[in-house]
Amino acid sequence: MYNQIIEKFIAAQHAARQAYQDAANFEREALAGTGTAEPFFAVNVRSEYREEEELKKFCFALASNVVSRARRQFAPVGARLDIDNDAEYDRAGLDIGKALKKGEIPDLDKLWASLTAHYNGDGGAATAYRQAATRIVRTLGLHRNPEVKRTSAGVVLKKAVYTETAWNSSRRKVCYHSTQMTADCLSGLATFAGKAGNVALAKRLESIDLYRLEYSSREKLTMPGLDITLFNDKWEFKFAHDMAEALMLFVGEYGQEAMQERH
Amino acid sequence: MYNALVEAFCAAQNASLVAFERVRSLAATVSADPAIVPVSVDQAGEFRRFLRRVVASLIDRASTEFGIEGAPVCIDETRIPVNGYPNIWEAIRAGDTPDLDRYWRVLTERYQAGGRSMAYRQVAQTLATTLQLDQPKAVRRHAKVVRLRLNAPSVAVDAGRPSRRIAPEAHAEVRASLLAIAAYARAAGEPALAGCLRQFDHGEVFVAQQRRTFPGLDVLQFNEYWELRFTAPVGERLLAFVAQHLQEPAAA
Repeated sequence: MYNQIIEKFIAAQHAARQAYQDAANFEREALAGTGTAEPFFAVNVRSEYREEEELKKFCFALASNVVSRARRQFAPVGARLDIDNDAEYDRAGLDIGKALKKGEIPDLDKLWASLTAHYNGDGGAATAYRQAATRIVRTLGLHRNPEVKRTSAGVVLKKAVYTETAWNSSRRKVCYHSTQMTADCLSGLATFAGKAGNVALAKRLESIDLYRLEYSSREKLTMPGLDITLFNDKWEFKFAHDMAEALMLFVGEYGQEAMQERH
Repeated sequence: MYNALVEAFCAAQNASLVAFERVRSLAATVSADPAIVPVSVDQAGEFRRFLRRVVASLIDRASTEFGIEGAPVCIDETRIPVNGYPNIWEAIRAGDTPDLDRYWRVLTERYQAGGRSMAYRQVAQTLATTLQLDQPKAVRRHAKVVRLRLNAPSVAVDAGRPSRRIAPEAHAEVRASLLAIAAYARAAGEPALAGCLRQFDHGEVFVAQQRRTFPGLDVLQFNEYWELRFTAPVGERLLAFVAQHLQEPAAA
């Protein structure tokens, strides 16, 4: 199917070239006796190099479209599935530049087949959950300090979030260099919440906009099953007992690799 | 002929557009981003650029066909209104497709009859301005030669050496002047002089007071000017040629 598109594209390139070539020939015949010489004709035909470049660019764009289709299609609802283009090309044995140089059509159907085989069914969901668990473990530092603090109200996890004063007010906002780690943490937790069936919590977590968020120290965000207390240099996540159990199960199932990391 | 060419170009544009559009719709069926198909977005711009090239070559053709050999007539197309626009370039800029065959007929009407005399007049005018014939001491007559003066400032090729070369700002004028003399020579029946002048590279390095010898003309290259020494009959005929053709526009 994808290979067919590339074939059609090459056919279109040939058709376009032929059309312009016809016009150019017509001009050279028509103006033959008038003394107009070669570089001054009005109809230009594109060089072969330009066409090859165009085809190459098209093939690369189409291949990355195939991968992003897999990203959308195989991710579980509400979760993010990270797929690396080049790793997938390698897995499918696809080398676009080489194939084009040989004059063949790069086999994108094989790429799609390989993606389907790898991520279809539970493959995509498992990968997405593993990535989410990895984000949770790394950002909350669970691999460094696996012992969590239990209180009567729930389980408390801490994450260092550095902040600065917001412009023209005494409220705080998340520092530029802390945003990415915090966003990773929140998206991992949102995926976990979706998996644990707490859709309301997932929605709330996803809707936090770190670029707009301003708070004063000790302010609390209350969500079903999770309270986040915002301090100047850390956030405290206080999970209700049932959510904490679910989180530990989630991390235990999908985050084992990340827990083994040494730093 | 020109209109047929314009039609052929439009057909080529459409054929290419249709072919790529087909690929784009096919890509949309597999939910690929249709933006990856490079449909040429600037069709109108491409067409305009094409029209400009055609018009330029058309005018070039007219100027060589209606001028004299070696001196194409200078055509002022900016004063010829087209389809209600002040000139053809404005018409193209506004997105109009002018009738080029008709435009060719207009140019033919205007320049076919009077083109040759106009070209001669332009040659004479070039000679008069570049040789500064209006100055009192422009022409010096001797027994065997007529000396004329061509302004040609030059610069040292590199410091400490006597080699010189025409200053960049003077190239155009010197070249125009030499080509005008060549055109005159051809018209006056001195093909040898015309041919030699055409091949003469005025940008070549010279040492001051170098003399270049052509049949009927010696060029002495000084630092600030070049002295043109015509043999007396050739020089007198040149002056007569200029005088004759500069008088004509009053009559015409």
